[in-house]
Amino acid sequence: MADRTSRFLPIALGCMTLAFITGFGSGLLSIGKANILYRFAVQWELCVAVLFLAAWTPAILLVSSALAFEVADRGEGFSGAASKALIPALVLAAAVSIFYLLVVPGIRERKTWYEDASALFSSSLMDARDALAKGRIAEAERLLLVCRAIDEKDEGYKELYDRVQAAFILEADAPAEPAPAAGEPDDPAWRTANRFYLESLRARDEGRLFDANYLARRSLSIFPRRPEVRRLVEETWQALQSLGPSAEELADAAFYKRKLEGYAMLQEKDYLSAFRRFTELAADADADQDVRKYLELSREGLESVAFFLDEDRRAFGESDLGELRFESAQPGGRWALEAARCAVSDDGVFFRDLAVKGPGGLELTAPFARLRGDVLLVRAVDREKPDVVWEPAYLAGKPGELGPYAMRVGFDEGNVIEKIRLSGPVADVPLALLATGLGRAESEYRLDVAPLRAEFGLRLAYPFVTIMLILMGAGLGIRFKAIEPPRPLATYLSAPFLVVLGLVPIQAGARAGRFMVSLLAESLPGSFILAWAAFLALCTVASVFFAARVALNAPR
Amino acid sequence: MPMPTPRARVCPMKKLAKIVLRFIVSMIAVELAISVVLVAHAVAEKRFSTVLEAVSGELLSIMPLAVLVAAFLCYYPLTRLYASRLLGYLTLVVLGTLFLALPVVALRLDWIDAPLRDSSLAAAWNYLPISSWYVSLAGLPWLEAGLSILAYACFVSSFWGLSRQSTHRPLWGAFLAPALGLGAVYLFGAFLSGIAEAGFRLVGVTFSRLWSGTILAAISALCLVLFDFTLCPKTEPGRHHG
Repeated sequence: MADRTSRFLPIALGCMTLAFITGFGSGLLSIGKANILYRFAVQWELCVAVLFLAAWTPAILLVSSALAFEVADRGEGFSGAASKALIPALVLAAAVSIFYLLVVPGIRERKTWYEDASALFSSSLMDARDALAKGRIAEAERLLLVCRAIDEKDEGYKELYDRVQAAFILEADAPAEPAPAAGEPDDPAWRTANRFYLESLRARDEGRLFDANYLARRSLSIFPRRPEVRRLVEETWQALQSLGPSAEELADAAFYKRKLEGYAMLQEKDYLSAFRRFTELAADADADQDVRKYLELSREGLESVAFFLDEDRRAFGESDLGELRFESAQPGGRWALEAARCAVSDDGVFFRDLAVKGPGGLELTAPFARLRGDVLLVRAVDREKPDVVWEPAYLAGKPGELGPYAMRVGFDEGNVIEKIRLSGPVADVPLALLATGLGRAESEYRLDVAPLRAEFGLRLAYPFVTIMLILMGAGLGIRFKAIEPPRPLATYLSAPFLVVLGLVPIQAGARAGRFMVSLLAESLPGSFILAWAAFLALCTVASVFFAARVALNAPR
Repeated sequence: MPMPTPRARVCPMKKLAKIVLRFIVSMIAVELAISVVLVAHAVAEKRFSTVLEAVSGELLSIMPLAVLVAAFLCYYPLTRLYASRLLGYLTLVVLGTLFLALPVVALRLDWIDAPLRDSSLAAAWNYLPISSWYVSLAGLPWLEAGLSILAYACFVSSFWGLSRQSTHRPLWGAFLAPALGLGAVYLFGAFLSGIAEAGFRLVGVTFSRLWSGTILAAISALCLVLFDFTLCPKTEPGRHHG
């Protein structure tokens, strides 16, 4: 008897270990086909193994129960045997259900992300290679930025990055062309640098040599690949050396003057200009206490009217959730966001190629945007080169009380994240959100809730199904006892084969269950959960009677 | 100590009647269980104008599945009934042919008027080829339809031998039988798909899709019966369970 009651857990745990190892092995075999990045390989394989285990667990429970009861005492009957050996089985069923409901959706979501990120990396790398081959170096660099956010240690990326940098150097060393034509007019960095270059030329012509040198150096720091700018820096510096006071004295005086100007900008709440100025000064004198202090203050201020592009890249490196359409009717009017891509991180929700429609006929587009709390920022700044800024384009309407770069929308990032999650693959939606978000999905986000409802029903069914399988396994084990009780080794060795055989009808049953739950979700939208829970409870009770009835024919 | 009582002998004919009854009850149970869901679905999708129309249409199209399940459920009682395997096969083939043919005959002779069409089950369980095959039988020549039904009945009966492989561990049989049943559905579906037709064409013989399926089902049945007579354990009439 002691032997019998102790067999369920060893069989179940042994089969689960085997299922995990098999899942990991199948992940290893399919990793090439899945095209997963080396960086994510182990995590992805672990996810595959866990999902494999989750898929096999119902069959494992059924077989473990059947094998444990196959060696139960003859003549004890279903109720006698069940009362002794079902407790560990039901405890394991509860543990497995908690694992399936709370852990598996997150694992599934993570696996999908590894696959999507790997696919995005590969396609971006391929496009970058193609762009480089066709001489579109700036485009290649832009595509490499996407790769960098995902895996900057990949050998393919590093090799291509080096080739792109080499191409830039070659381009810079090439014979100079007329100034306005050289470079990449579509690149915002080039445009900003060119503006400084033209101002520098004007300053030089007007005899303001220090300004000319300063502006040329700024231009060079933003877009370093223009030889004519480098020449202008050298030319103005040599001209400065030839002046009366020493160049160092002039530089010290100018440094102090620029620090004062930066301070004034900060006082006037022109945070972007102040940030630019103190970033520039920090590059010249990082040890200066004033510069460090005011740089930090200007950065804090700037965050109220813009965000840094590296935050966007970090967010997209962690989660690229594809396109988004979001609408929200507020007392002040209706808001509609439409983004080509969106990503979620601790810093907020990030959008690329965002189109916004708001109250009062407001209509604008922005290449980059971030929603944190209920404030939408539509201006992005490059932290390293703050002169490079991506600004919104107002198509209609006027900026609101927070200015042209920030707007208070009537919803917050939580609503958007909820909408993103609910409109993604239903199997990835966390249980808590499924349970609480169904109402809002229908009324606020206008989503088709039947698949969500069906998914919730399927999750709800899992604990019931595990109990039913254990009961049925117990009935089968008692009913189909061997004339000669099998030896323990034979029992353990047969378990994996029986699990494979058990999987077939269980999967067919699961399909029938999905069919049934979809049907109920569509035909009983109002009382679906109640009807489904009642149906499951009824099935569980029926399975008790069924198992007892099957066991009744056991040989005595 | 009380004297042991001799085991009560049950008349074989009574046992056979019980098996036939089990066959019919199993069929009805399968039909009811599946058609309740399918009819609800069909009515919800407004594919039928009345519930009665939906019931009759769905009931008929899932008949091959019901016969398959009923045959599988009769394997074990048959093992305990007959000493001769031929008689067991004959019983299964006759029952299968009869219950598959009855609705087709009734439709052809206009005894009933049901809208035969592919079952909703088709989409869910890869049942489409079998459903389409059965639906098409009502419009085929008598001989072609009859042979096709007979081949299917032989095919579902021929798995009996495999069920006797697990005499020493009946639990194996309990797990093997459902997997075999689903395997049979997939296999017959594959026979009726274009693959079988293309396979015949490859060896230089041209058959219609229906004839290809019929021939392959008959060949498979023959192979399984030969396997039974050469390698499978014999029947055990009078044994309590198996």
